[in-house]
Amino acid sequence: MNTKLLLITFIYLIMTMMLFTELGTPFAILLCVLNIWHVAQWKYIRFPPSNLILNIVAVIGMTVCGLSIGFSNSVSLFVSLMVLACQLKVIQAKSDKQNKQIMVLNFFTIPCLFLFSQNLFTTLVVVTALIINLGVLAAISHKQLLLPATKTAVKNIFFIIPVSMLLVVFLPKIPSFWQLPGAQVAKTGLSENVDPFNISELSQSDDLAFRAIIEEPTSYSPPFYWRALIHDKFDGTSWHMAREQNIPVHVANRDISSVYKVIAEPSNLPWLFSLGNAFSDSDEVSTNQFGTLFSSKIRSRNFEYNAHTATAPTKEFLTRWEYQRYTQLPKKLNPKSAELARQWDNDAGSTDDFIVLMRAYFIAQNFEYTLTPEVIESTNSIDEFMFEKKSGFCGHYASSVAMMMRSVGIPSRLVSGYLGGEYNEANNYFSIYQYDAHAWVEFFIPNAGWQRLDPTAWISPERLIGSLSQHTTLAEQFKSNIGISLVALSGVPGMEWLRLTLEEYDYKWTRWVLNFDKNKQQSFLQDLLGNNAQVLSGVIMVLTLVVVFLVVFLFMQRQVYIKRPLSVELYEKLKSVSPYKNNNLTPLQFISKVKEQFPEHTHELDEFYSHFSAARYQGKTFANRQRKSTMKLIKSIKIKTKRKL
Amino acid sequence: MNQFVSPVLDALSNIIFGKEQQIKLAVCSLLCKGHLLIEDLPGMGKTTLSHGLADSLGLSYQRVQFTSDLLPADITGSAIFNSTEHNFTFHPGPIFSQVLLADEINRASPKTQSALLEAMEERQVTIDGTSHMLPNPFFVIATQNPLHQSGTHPLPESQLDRFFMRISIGYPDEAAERKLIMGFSSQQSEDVKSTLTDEELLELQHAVTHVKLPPPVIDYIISLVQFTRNSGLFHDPLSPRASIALGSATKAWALMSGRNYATPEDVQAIFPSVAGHRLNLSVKEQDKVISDILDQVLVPV
Repeated sequence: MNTKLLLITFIYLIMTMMLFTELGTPFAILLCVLNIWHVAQWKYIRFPPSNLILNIVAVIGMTVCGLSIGFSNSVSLFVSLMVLACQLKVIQAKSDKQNKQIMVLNFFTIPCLFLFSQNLFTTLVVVTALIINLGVLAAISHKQLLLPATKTAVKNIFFIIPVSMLLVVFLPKIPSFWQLPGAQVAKTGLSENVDPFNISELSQSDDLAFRAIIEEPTSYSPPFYWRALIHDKFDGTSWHMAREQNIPVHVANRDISSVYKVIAEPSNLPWLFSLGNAFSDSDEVSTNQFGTLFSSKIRSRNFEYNAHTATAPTKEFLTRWEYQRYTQLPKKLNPKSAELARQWDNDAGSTDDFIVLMRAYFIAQNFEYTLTPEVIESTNSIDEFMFEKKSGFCGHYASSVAMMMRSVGIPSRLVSGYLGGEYNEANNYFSIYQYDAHAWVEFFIPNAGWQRLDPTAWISPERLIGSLSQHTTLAEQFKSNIGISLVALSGVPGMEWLRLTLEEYDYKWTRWVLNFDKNKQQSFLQDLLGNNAQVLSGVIMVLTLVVVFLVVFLFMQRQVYIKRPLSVELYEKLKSVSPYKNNNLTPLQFISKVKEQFPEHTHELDEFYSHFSAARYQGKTFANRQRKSTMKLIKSIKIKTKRKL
Repeated sequence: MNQFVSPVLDALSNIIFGKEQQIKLAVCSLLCKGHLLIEDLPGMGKTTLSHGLADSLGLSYQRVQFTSDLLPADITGSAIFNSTEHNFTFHPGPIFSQVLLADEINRASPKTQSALLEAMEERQVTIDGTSHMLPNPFFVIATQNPLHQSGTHPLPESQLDRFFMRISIGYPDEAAERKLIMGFSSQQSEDVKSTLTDEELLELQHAVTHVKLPPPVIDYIISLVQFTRNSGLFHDPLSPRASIALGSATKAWALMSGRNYATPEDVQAIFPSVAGHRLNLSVKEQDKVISDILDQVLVPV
């Protein structure tokens, strides 16, 4: 039973923790139990269980795995089966050969974490785990202690870093022949159906949604409403996504002067984020008729695209069909709200007046903004919200306002996306987190087009500035919702700084490493090598490969270098400068010969020999301070020998 | 110099003049519980040295002069019919002593030689199905004449290997010879007093096993042994038993030099005596061949 294998179990434990949400609680607990089993086995039992028991555990494990993850999410299923198999194999392994097989398999298992996340933290975890794995492998196969083995492993890793960097920069990026179905990653803060009344606690995550780099801030000013999804159909409780969302349209009037870049995190939805009406010149990004962007495929990696604001031709009127669509309401629901809206409509001369009245009502009735609303179960959910609960989050307000506008014939729709973002001054980018998800209303005015209306801003104007995490009045609710994380600890001194610093490094990692794709490579090579980039990069590639193979060849040819002890080194040096360098003498004979030749050094020679014999024959360590005096002795004997010859 | 060993050496150098190295080697062999073979021409002091050794170590000894008609029973003893008790009683032979001085061992027939050599290895004698343990310590100090002398039966290689060391005394130098002629030796040979008790001897033998044999010295022994095997110069290369003997002789030599660790010089000192007879070298050629080996095999640092 090998103690080093506990480290491998520890790696599996870390993996289990990192994949907790993917694996499902029952299966994650099972893996933890197996971890504990391994430790207990190492501590108390010291021999592996019988194959029958292991097979039973394996069957139970597979069953739990299937039940806990389900068969639709094939990537998670494969990864979890892999971790299960490795963990069981570690428990079962008897010989070094089996252990080594596990280590080798781990080089595949550990990077599986990248299927779920590629941020800096995951990268550090994976690299650390691989180093530990490599160290354990080296320790087992060379029968070494763990620490020196790991040291050698790390050294070798550093040795290959420049090579791999060159390969990343210069090796042409060939599209993959075959791809895993994307793992279901990053639960997005957006959903295709907005149903605010059924939610008791806004599920909030501090995962990053996307980052944006606005190079010309003058063209865009806060508040930043990042549009993602349009909801046009209301069924009384929830708002459904417009179906034309993934149909590309041609955008005629382009204003390419003010580009901004968005780096989207992996998501299982194709919808992208943009300010106002947008179009994009990036590959595989299209604009739909609502002016929002979408990707033609689902991204399991970070994805960077450019976006521009498109000044869409002002729509003068809606078609009859469109009008019907944007004023559609389920009949007979929410009569009180509809009645209230009718009263305002009667009093108001225009849509603007109507909005003013509506706003006055919300403010006068002391509506509250909360992240933990009560569930509204009645079918007239908007009535209950408007006249009883009077507290909710963006979804409640947007939903109610849009419904009331529709009830008086003002065409309106719900937009969901993100609001604000955290600005990083040093690197000039915004980070938008899942908890910045927001919903607002757009309504149509003939000859003016679609207008934005954010009722949440009436209740909580603070929300328009920056990110939700910077919201002071909601701080308590926000922190309790978000759970244990760095954002929640932002009150603790230094934590905010730590979080922002980590975030900044993660940004750089994403921007410069993860998103180094074919286009970036091309432009980089163009900058570096000028017009002949293609040819030159080919030459550099070939040269690099030649150098790498040469180095590897020489490395394998080299004689195994064993570091000689200091005492031997000094003795050999002394011998090589003396007149007796070619004589086959024992150390004592040699020293006495040198003494005969140079009687003036008798004392030093005797002293050296006594230290030498202590180190070589008596198992003591050679005193390092002896080095200096011996070097002096060597020098003087060298000079004298030369003189004599 | 070890405090227990030096009196022994002093006592012995009073009877064998000018042969400190040979005396030391002889004592070294006994410290390793090894049997000693002294080979030289007649009249060189072989018997004197062997008697002196036994005396100075304070051991009981018996001397057997090997002749061509010596029978195994003459050494081991035999069962003789006791007419009063009507049974066979075992009468131990001269081998039942702490030191057996086997003079001119190569004059006896191979049968007798092998009886002795069996006892040397097993440290017991079996007669009529009964095993009799030999005393402890038990040494055989054998002398033999060079093989070219008439009436000798050479010891087979397998039996030579059982002698831990073979030494030869050699001619004395002028000063020593002068002393001999003046008659110092004959007076003092009777004066050799035991300078070591049995316990002290056992303690010394025990101390030998605790001497450190550092890696470079082990490497040296191995290179020497490997050289005899790989160089192709030797018909009978050194056996593992020889390697073990080299190791323990090196330790004993280091102990006698007053150190608790061995050095390559110790190996060089004992190598000719331990390896010479095992490589089937005659005393005459031994010096040159051994010094060739020592020249060619690099001393590991």
